[in-house]
Amino acid sequence: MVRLNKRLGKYEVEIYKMDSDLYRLVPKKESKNFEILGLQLQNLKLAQITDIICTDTEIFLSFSGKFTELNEVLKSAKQLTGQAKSWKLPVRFTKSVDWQRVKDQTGLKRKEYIAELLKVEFKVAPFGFQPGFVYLKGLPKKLQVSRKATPVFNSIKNAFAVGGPYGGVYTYPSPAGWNVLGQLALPIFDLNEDAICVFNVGDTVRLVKISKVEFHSLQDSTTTDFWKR
Amino acid sequence: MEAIRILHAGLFTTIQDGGRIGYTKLGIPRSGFLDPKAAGYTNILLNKEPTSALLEMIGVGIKFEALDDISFAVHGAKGKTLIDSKEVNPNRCFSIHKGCVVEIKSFDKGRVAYLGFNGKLKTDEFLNSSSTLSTVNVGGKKGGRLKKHDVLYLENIYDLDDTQLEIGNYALPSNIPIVSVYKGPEFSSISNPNVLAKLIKVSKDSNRMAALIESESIQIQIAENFASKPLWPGMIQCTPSGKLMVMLQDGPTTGGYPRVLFLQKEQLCLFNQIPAGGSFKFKIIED
Repeated sequence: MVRLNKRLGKYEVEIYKMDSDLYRLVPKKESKNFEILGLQLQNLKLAQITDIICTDTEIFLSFSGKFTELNEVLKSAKQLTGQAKSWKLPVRFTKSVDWQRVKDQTGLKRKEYIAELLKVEFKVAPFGFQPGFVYLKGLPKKLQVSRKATPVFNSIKNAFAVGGPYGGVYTYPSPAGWNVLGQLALPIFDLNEDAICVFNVGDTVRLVKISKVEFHSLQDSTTTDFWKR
Repeated sequence: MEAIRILHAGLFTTIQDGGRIGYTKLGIPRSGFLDPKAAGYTNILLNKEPTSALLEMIGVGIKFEALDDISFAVHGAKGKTLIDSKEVNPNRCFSIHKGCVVEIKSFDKGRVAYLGFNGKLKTDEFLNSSSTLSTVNVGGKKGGRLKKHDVLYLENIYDLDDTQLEIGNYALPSNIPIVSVYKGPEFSSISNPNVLAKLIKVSKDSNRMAALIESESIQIQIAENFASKPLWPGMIQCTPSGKLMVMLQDGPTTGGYPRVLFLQKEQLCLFNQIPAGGSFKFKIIED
């Protein structure tokens, strides 16, 4: 693969050309700056950028323009700072069979585990894997439960699950290798009209335990109104 | 207008188009034609934009009844095409009458063929695309593959002169095609790369998300803390057990296995035309 320049705006990255309109961006040094580059590229809304996939260590950019132009745009773009929001995620903890795995691996009973889980401040990681799936970083070691060797079909919408060092949300029913522990009262993804996720990468998330009654009353409120609060 | 009724739906027939552009950042793959080149020719025969929605047939064609006077074109993988039991050479479009039955048999050569009509297919559009993404049930016809008895509708019907344009046979892979491939970002994780130059096979367990490759076992070293990386159609991952997986149009946008090889667009078209169970050889392009 052809290696291009080593700078993009203020960022030190190596750029590899993969195909006529596909580029791979790798940070020169591990830096949180790289996450900001990803957010910045997403926020540019340049017509020449048709797709972007961000992870902690790499970015894929589908781009049909000249990098010199992108460089100029990035140089003059406003630095993104302090944009991260904090969210409270209403979760009803279910009577899932996966609680047995939690107990076996952490030694904590359901009630104890939930109490610890509510203290965790998660950080939204770059999206991926499948539509509607959100990775939440920051699950402490004592609360980590391994992924299942064989995925089991999860029929719950907006399911909250834990797997390895992550928390996560399955917006849609699908085979799930993670341990499903609860259900969000409202979707964080809206794929109906305009694909949007209420979270941005880098936002912080805390879980809030809700009862069955609260769960149902929240379900009646419209999603957008709720998340705007 | 009611255009056709499906009598046999084939194996995995879906509605696809040029793809769902701009949503990979949310984990939504682009989807779209497995072979955009063959689809483009089909649309040319129909006098349409190359990315217009078509029926994509994998491995075997469909059988349908015309519910009105319509024109159709089929191109790509080659299967016997019969109009009211009479064989035709599908290198142009055909105008047929209401009640006419068209059958496209299983493909003798190639894996993916496209079928379209003289009007806009009515689809359950999702995020500006008609492409079916069956993993989350969106796009196409009710988000899934076509089934027996399904009725497809057309809008904006136009006249098509079926003698106006004729094209040659579509270039399909030879018996044992050579697929040119680039080294992927984690190519060096493979400790026995000579295995890749040997004759290998496309597994029958392939779908629109990924094609599995049957080869001698590949020895791979995966770092314990290997983080998820971006994926793209044509990217080839190697699993811890040494199996290659070619990520396709409906595949995930990130993945946690080393990306050892990469097929560029053109070569992915060729690869996607290799029949399930078919043999081929990789030719690794040195940088």
